[in-house]
Amino acid sequence: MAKRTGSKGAQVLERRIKSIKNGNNQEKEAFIRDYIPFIVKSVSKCIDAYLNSTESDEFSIGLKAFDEALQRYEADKGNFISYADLVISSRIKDYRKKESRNRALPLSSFETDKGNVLEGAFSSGDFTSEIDIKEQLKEFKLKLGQFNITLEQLLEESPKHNDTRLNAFRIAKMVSSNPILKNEFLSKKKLPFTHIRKEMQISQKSIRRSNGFITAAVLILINDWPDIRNQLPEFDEDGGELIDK
Amino acid sequence: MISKGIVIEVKKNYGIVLSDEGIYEKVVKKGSLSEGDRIIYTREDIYEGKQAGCKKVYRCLLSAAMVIFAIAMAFGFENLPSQNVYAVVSMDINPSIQYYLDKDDFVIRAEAMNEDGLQIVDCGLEGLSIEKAINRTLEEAERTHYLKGDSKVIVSAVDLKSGKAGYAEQIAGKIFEEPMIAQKQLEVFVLEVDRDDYEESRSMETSLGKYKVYEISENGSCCGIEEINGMKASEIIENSMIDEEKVHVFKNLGKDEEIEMQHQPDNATKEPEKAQNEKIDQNEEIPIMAEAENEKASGEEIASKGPNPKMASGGNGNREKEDMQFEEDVEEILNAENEKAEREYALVETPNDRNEEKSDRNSKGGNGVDSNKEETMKAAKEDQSSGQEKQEKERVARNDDFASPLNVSNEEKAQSDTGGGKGTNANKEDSAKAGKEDASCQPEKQEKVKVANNEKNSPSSNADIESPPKNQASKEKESGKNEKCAEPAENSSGERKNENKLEKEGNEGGKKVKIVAFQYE
Repeated sequence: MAKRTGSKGAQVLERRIKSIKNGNNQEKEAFIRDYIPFIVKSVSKCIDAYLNSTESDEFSIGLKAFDEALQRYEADKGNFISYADLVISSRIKDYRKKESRNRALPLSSFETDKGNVLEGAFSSGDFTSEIDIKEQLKEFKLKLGQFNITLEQLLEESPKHNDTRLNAFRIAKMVSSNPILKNEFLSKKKLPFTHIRKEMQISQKSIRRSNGFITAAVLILINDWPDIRNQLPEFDEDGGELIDK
Repeated sequence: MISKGIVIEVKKNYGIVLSDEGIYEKVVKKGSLSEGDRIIYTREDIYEGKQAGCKKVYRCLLSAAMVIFAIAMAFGFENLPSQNVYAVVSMDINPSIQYYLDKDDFVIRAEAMNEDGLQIVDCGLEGLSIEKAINRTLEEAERTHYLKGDSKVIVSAVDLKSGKAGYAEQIAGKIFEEPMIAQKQLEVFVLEVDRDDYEESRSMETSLGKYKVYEISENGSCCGIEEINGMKASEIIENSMIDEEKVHVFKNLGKDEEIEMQHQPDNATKEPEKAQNEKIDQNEEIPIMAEAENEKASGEEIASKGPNPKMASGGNGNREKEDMQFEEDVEEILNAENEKAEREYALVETPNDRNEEKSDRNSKGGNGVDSNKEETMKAAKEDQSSGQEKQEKERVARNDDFASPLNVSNEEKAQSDTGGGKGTNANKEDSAKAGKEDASCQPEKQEKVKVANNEKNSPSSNADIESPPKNQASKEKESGKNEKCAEPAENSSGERKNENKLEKEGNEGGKKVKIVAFQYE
């Protein structure tokens, strides 16, 4: 991500834009990829909500607007970032105006020969999946409560360093994949510290420091909460190595 | 860097998200954030709740501290002034300013005690010494036309820490030397107040000086505190509202530029009283002496009619022996006076025959002798007391030859005195007392003469006997034949002669004199 301020960052930015304008597509893709967080932030600010995903309409419009800004930018128009932000927000506003017009359809528009439009809308799979996530989260929080773990504890114990985080998931994987440890965990409602210490060569102190975080990860792994589980890193089954998504 | 996550829970200020890295994070709330939402967020969306919370706590503490400080500034420091304030001085022109001083008499804070004061208080008084601050305030008051040529100033001072007296005097000494007071010849009253007065003035929200004026006017018997607040210092002073017996006042005398202590703290009440007493004594002396002369006249008159019960049977009778000696002394002195008187008579007409007649009559009754003496005495006194009569004295001096008849009569008097009633003694005493008073107050002789002359008009029957004094009296006043015209003069002359003997008489005689005079009236 290019620096927005500073003469050196500005020069790099100018040079990259100049390169893109000269038809360097690779540079253009790399440039856009670097500026996705900026696009997300601009769009999010403009719609005053978080984007659902990088596949949402708003994000797509934001991407298009950013590309447009890149094409239309001239050095005499000032800072590129400000210019891009202005272009994105104006395109998003245009989209939302258009969207609001589409939503305010007369009832007659639903009476088509092709059948009931509303029926099609309510049969959407997104609706059910949303309910599923909420149910999964409800169970997850219930289980955490059974293990005397709060969400605030999870916030505090969330590892700041990547290695610590991966180690924690490794321990969780080990406990969840071992039926004895899993049963011990479920029956005693606490991590099998002694076994973990022996298996993982980790001090009990560091395990206890991440007790809640590891416990939550084990619960996610041993329960059928697919949407939640998707948030955890995937494992290489062979080596047992952890591969970040 | 962007993160994807599922909103696990939504709190009041933030949402808890399980990111796609498997960690739990707080994100700021945007729009309608709800559980189960999949969101894409950046690092900028991370909620700095804990740190922000700490900052908020600090901010709250800081703001609370500032509020407390502001409240203390607004109310507390004024009501708790004694931490650094060692003394308070107020000045009333009519702008009223109060100065709060440190231990070195430098102004910590100046406060306007009324609306006019607000106009002049902001002239950079803080940090100045009290005398400079007052000078500065006076300059500002002059500039804003509050201070005029005829304005007067009331300054009050109290030492809050020690509370000892004399602080006002100290302040007075300092400020009277300031150019605005010394050169402009402003009249300044410095009042000494105490700590109680200061507390009361605070509670009444008025300046020290005006509270003191209110207090010494017996808590506003003449006017209320609000009325006093509205008055100028010059009005207060001109209306004599500052009772110097109730408060110690230090004044500069304006043009003299002298610090005069009108009232000492301890001796303050005594000195003026003494002065007043002296004045009163002096004032009383005059009527007493006049009375004394009246008494002599009346005493003689009474004696001629018969012995006065009070005088004859009283203390005089007990002192007969002393009186005998006294009379002898008196006679010697009287002789000299009589000689002078006779000389006068000789000048006026031929008094010798008449004197002989008098002496004959006097020998029959003691009182007659006295009256004769009195006549001669009066003549002598009138010579001295009246400038017009100096010429007569000169004439008397020329006519020494005519003295002999009087001597004869004096001998007769002595005889009659020894055999006569006590009334004569009484008369002598009276005359002696009057003489004492006369000696002590010579300038009043003229007044006595006047009194005596007035008595000449009083009714009498012995006109024939006393013709020579009548002639003198006729010279003086051209009045008729009143026998008594000579009597007061005689007394006064007798008094002068008897100056040496006055000491013997004591105060009792004075009392008698008064009694006689009262009866006569």
